[in-house]
Amino acid sequence: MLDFLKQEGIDPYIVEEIERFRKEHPASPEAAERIPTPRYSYYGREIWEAAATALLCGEHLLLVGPKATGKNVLAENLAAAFGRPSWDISLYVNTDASSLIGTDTFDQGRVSFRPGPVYQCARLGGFGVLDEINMAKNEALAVLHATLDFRRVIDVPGYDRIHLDEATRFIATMNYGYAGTRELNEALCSRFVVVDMPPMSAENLKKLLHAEFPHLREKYAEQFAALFQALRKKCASSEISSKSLDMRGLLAAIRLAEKGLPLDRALALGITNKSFTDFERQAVSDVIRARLPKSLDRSRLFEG
Amino acid sequence: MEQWELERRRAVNMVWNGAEDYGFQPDVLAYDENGQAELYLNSILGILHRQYDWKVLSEVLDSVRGPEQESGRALLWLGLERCAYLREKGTRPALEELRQDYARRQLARSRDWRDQKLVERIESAWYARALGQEAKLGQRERQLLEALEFDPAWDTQKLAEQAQTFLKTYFQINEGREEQSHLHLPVIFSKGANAYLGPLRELRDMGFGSAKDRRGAPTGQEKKRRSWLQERRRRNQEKLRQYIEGSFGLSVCTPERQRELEKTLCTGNHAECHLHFTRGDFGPLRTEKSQEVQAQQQKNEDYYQQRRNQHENTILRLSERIRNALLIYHEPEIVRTSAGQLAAGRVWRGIALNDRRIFTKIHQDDPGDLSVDILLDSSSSQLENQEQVAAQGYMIAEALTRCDVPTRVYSFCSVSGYTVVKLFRDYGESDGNRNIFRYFSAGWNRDGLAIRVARHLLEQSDCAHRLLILLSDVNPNDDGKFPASGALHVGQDYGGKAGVEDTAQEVRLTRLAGVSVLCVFTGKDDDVENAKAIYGQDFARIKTMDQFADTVGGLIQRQIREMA
Repeated sequence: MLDFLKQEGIDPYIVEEIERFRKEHPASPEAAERIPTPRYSYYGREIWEAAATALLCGEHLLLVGPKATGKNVLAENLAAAFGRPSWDISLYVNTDASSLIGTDTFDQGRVSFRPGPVYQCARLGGFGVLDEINMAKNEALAVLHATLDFRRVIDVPGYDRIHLDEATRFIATMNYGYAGTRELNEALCSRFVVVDMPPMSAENLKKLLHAEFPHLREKYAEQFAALFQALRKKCASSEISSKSLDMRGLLAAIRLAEKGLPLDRALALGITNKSFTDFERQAVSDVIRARLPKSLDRSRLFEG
Repeated sequence: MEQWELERRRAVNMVWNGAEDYGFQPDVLAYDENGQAELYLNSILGILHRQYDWKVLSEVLDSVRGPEQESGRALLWLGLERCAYLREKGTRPALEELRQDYARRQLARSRDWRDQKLVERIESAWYARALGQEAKLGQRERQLLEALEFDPAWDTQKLAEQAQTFLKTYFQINEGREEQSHLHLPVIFSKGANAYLGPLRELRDMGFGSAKDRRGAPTGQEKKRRSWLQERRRRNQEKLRQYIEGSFGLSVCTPERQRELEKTLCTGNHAECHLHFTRGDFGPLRTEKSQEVQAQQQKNEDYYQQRRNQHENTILRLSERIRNALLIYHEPEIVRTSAGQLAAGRVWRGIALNDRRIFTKIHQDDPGDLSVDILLDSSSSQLENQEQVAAQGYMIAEALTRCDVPTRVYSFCSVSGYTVVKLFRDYGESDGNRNIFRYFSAGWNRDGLAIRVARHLLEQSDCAHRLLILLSDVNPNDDGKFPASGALHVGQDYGGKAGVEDTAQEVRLTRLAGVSVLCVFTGKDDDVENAKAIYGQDFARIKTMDQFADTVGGLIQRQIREMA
């Protein structure tokens, strides 16, 4: 992972600091298996530098941005770069304090405490990814206030007061601009430093495509990147919903095409069919047809 | 949305794909012979916009005077098409295939070359060339064809000059008369909405006229004029419908659906009425009224923006208020589980009965049991307050959206027997609140029919608690009468006591259908009695429009409390 950072041109000083952090906080054997090996790499030097510096300074991160900006990929990449075990904590409207910190349970005739992900994160020096933090009720998150600010403690009534391991960090992600999301209250927001996630640039997208598909011809990597940008524009001007703006879908489609499915059918599976109105499907398919010849198949898309 | 409107939007989207500029509003769009948006040509249009200064080029195209040069314009499109294609093909691999496919289709539908006129022959030769073939051409035709092959390296200025020269050289003289009768552009380039303007001009002063003359009460002369118009209306039903569309926006129903709805809803006291459902979209229609409507929309938006801070704060306050009410309503339910908060009183069950469910957990009900419909009176009585009504409506909708309460906002007014229902925002359209700025007031108000329509729409809501809030001056008044009955050949006026009774009846029926109906009353002291007669206790009076949003907030809060 650190080699990747060097290769991406991240400030060498930051990379050195990350290395030092890793040396100072080796993961315990118990935690080692939770250190992620990311499936995708996050491309974007500035964001990497900002996020890594904030974590090195002991801050918690809030990654804010619309769909397909790589919030979760970055969170996972950060945990891997820092060599920390990570916990994915998906928040939703019924999330309550006990599902974060832990609950009492009854085991072999006695009541015991079953630790939740935040508790484990605190104890083992993990990175806790609070996914879609704005979906949870503010009241449920209030228990995290003391955890996230300078006190760095978790107080479970009836149990010990535990201090966060020095290496513990929380990385929250949040979508904005979509229906159903709510704003984060000030008290919570002030406990994070906020990284505004930009949409992935065409260049970074091409890098991602080449990393995923080493045999993909340059010409078509460019077209796929342009296609994704065109869809993003269409989405930004509210002509289509964000359903088809789906990076995972695009990658899946190319993967299917690599296995031999004609590209137009692969893109239908990965992208077009994600919309559920005829108009939207039509509009998305028009964008694709205006970019990529219908007859494209594996032999033209890939070298060798 | 009607099929052609969808197709139009699709075509515009194709242009945008090429233009990469969603602010560009193309004034021409391409469709194939079946009326389907034509991918290749629309993309080319967009590419032309991006690659060149489209304004300069379209000026050249528009400079065509008289039918003689029309053929020249048709051919100019070909020249421009090629330029855009050549410039873009390197960056868009699909373009070549699309062009060839398009050329093949055009050639397949062209007539035998012996029957072809000049323009057709050139076009055929042009498309044959796109496919790498050469057609038989005379010397002059070949010259024309070659002159059209503009160099893609030219900049806009040079291209425009060459296009002008082309027109001057080949189409100045009066020789195109033969061709112009058979102007054969293989696609339908529909320019603006000229097709619609004909009948509208003739009908412009029908119905409610311009907003300016409506401020006073109708004069005797006007009334006479109206009865004459009613007679004429019967003859001109179709034209009238077009007029309504030109004034309020295109219908969102197919003619069949429209008839079906009228059959269901326009019965009894409203037997002779018609309905027009619209979203206030004019599509390609450009009428005097549509421009007035759009100008008002701009005014509404400006009004909102000028007091933006104040309005945003109102939204925050309102949503806080509604959210709190909802939180209280959604009392948490405590359930027994095998993990959670220990219930001391049940521990013995774990030991003695091996029942592991000795814990409790709090289960929150999902919100979303309440839907709110807001029906705004948009008759002339709100003429002085249009900007405020729009702003207040927007704030309510926005606040409800933030609380995830399904909300629908629409307005009603009636003109020449048509009750126009303009839908601004439907359930689930959380990004559609800005459409409320399309609010525009005109004509009369047939409250009874409007409430009947609302009841019909509300039947589609799945929510257990449905709330209908009306903004009204509680003075039902329409120029369309009650249907003639018994010995009377002419029906009674819709208004006064009879109008109030009809409206009250509809409100009662709506309540019977399980909908809570509340009214925000904007009228005069004299009309308080009407409000009582129609809504009983369920109305709130406001003296100025800026109290509207807060009042509605209070009403919703009250409704939520009653649900609990």
